[in-house]
Amino acid sequence: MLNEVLGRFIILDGVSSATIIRDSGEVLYSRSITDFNNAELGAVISFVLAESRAIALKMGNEPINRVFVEFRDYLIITEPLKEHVYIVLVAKPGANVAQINMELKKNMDKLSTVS
Amino acid sequence: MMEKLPRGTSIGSMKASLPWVLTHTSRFAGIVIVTIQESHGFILIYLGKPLVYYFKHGANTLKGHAAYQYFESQPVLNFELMRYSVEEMKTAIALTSDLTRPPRPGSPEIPNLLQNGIPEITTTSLKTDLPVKSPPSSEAQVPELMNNEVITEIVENSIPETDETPEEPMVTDGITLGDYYEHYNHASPPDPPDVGELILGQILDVPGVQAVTIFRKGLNVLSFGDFNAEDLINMAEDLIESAKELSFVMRTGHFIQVTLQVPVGNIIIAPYYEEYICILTSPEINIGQIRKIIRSLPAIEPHATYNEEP
Repeated sequence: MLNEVLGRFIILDGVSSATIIRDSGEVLYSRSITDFNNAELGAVISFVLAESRAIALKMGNEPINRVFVEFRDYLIITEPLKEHVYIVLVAKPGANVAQINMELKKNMDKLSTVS
Repeated sequence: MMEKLPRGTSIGSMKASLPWVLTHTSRFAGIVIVTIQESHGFILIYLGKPLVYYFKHGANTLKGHAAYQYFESQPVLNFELMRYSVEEMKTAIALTSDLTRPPRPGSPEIPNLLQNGIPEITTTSLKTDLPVKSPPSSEAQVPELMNNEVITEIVENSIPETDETPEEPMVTDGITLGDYYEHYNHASPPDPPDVGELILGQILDVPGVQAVTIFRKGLNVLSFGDFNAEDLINMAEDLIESAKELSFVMRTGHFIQVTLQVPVGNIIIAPYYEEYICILTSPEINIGQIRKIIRSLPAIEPHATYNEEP
């Protein structure tokens, strides 16, 4: 079912992949229309999350709502689904972020059932 | 002295070394109010040219070269930039005309002040080898900056080239600040700020931006707003480095920014010239607006690690 939910993201204009990972970097589910190495992506995102958590801790032990990394050719959005589990969305810079946000909101309940 | 000077328009309070101030005010006309502990001084600057250095501590005063040296000896200065209009600049120049010849080292004022104790910044984590860009030209900060040749250069650079005959012949020999004052009447308004300054101004103007700091290699170079940047800088650099690792996994193109969103607000970090800019915002800010501005920031990334297609 989660693969089906992830499929709803990659049909959005400009979205290249949707992946669910643990904060250890382990990939749980993934749907992609590109040839990214998802295992490597998960590993690097786990480092980004670790650094983000360090900053959030410094700011008063705040939970992370989102980490948004932007490059010339890609945006990478990482959001928590539940404790230790995150969704990572890779999109082109022209992708409609508002639409991605809406899809996330719409599917958050289903995504949060990941175990 | 200072209370007589025009107030000007505040651009912001910041912390930076003297070389940084001098190399980042090429489009600035006004006064830099310097505060060292409880004492105050100023640097009068016209388009990157420091015209007057002044510092007062109790009954003792440092002027020109001595004040310059004292400012330079501080690893970081707390200062406020006050932009001057043409009229305010003229007034300030007139009021400081007695400071046109800076005292040389060894003048009676310096040992006197040294004996009475010059205030020192005692709590700073910045190192004295703060990495800053080299000044574009040595005369921009040498203490002899107010000699005739340099003033002539200022005047020549201040007056726009024109095909029309000027109303007055330009004075090129034996010029004084008073002469400069006269010629300033005919100078065009200061050039608009460069792209980086404009964009920085745009960021500061966005509702919800609470603080901005510019940093490099673990050192806070400049700060706007109430923000203890020292605590976050190292972690921010680690976050950037790990985020840039993504370019090894995908063909991402160059790094633009990373935003961390937490319930109390957002932290946005992006390259800014050879440094990084870190922006703290309230949670309700329009992130899209900031993204758009950041995409136009001038960036020369230190240690850039790209993985781009040939």
